[in-house]
Amino acid sequence: MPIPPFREDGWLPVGHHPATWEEIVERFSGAPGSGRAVLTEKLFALRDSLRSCGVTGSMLLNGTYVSAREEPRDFDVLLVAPDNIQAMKEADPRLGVLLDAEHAEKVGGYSLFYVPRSSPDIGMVTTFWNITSEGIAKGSVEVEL
Amino acid sequence: MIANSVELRVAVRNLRIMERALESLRTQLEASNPWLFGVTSKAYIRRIELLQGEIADYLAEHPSEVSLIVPQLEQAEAAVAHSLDAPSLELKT
Repeated sequence: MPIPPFREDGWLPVGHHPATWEEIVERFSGAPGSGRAVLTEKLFALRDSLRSCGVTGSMLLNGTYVSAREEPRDFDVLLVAPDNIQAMKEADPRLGVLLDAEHAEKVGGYSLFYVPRSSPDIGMVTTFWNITSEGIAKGSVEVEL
Repeated sequence: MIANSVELRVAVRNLRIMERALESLRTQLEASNPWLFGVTSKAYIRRIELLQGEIADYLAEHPSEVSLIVPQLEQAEAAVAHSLDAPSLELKT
């Protein structure tokens, strides 16, 4: 099922909307050289880096990036990944940098949250992104790594 | 920056969720994967600090609104506790 249309207020309808990377490009990448394009490059760089470290799982995308705003500020990523990610770090030290929140914010310009796939509290954690800071219920985009 | 009482309530709600999420991460990882907990907890801690700062700044300007969030704190605790008891809405993985 494709990502649903934006509501009139510019947010996606409530829910976690599964998407492919092609759909993300089509819907959110913006014009070349735009702020959207820059954020899209950062998102794809994160995806590619995680993949190259052997990380699997899914990403829940939030923030103004997944809205109709022409010049989004940023995006939040909730990474739902295997519990053995620490073992992956032993094999590839780059993973430690990738998961570091300060690095993500200062260099990547996004916030990266991790929750183990086996966590019983995934549902509780995801509720953080179910409403905007103004109190408006909204949706998120979910994509496989 | 919090602009009004609605946003204050949202910020308090979000603060509680982040605190519980951090506690959940601690329970699951701190003993078994200390490195992973140390690295991945930073995002939660930074967001908690951001929300705490925003709430403090707003309440410094609107001290009478402290009374608005005290009952909410109790409700938020109950709501989060309830969500922990309910079946989790797991993402497709």
